[in-house]
Amino acid sequence: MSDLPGKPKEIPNKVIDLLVSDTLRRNGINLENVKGKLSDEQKQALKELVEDLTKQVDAFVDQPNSTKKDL
Amino acid sequence: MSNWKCVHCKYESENPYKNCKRCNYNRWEQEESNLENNHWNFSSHDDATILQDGGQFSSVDQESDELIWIKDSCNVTVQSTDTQAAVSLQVGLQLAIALIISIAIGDTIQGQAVAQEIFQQFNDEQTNKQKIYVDNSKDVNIVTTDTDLAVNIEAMLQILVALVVKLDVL
Repeated sequence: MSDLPGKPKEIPNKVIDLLVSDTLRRNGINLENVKGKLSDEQKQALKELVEDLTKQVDAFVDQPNSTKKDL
Repeated sequence: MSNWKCVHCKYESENPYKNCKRCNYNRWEQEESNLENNHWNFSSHDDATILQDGGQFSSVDQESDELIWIKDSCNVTVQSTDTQAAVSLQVGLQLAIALIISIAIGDTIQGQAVAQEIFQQFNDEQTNKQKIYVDNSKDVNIVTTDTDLAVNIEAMLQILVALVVKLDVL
């Protein structure tokens, strides 16, 4: 709840990327094995899910769901 | 070998029966023995089961207090964000991350460990308090935004996208 409007700074993608890679690696998950496991349908469903959530987050961050009152 | 004595009424018996015949108590002791194992207690011999599950919460504790006090003023515009919408969005993102891990890696110990570690990054506690007083004013425009939550939501989306890219879904 800051009184400074404007888009907050994002966490660098590099940090997120490293975090995810490291977590997967430490748990001994080989990405090459995982990639072949997903069917095209599953990929499509996940893709739509991510796109939908991306839209929602963008909408929230750019235009906050705000209540406006004139007093 | 001495007789067993009931701890309660000192009734003697050659065998420690389940309950004392006289007073129905179920603890026995053997006086002339220094062995540790000279107590019989039938009430606490349940088989022990040790269960440890991987339950760790992604606890995002968030508290926002907002007070806007407007007094003796006119033409004041207030715009404040609705944090509840953000919370449901965050839950949606968490579910999506868990789902992708579960589908791609499987509901194995490995998969659960990955999900757990990723959600651990989000354990944060946040308290925001804000008070705004407007007194004896005209033409005031107030805009408040919950930026901390927005950052959190963006971070979760970034993780989701990173996971999906790594798993070759997009």
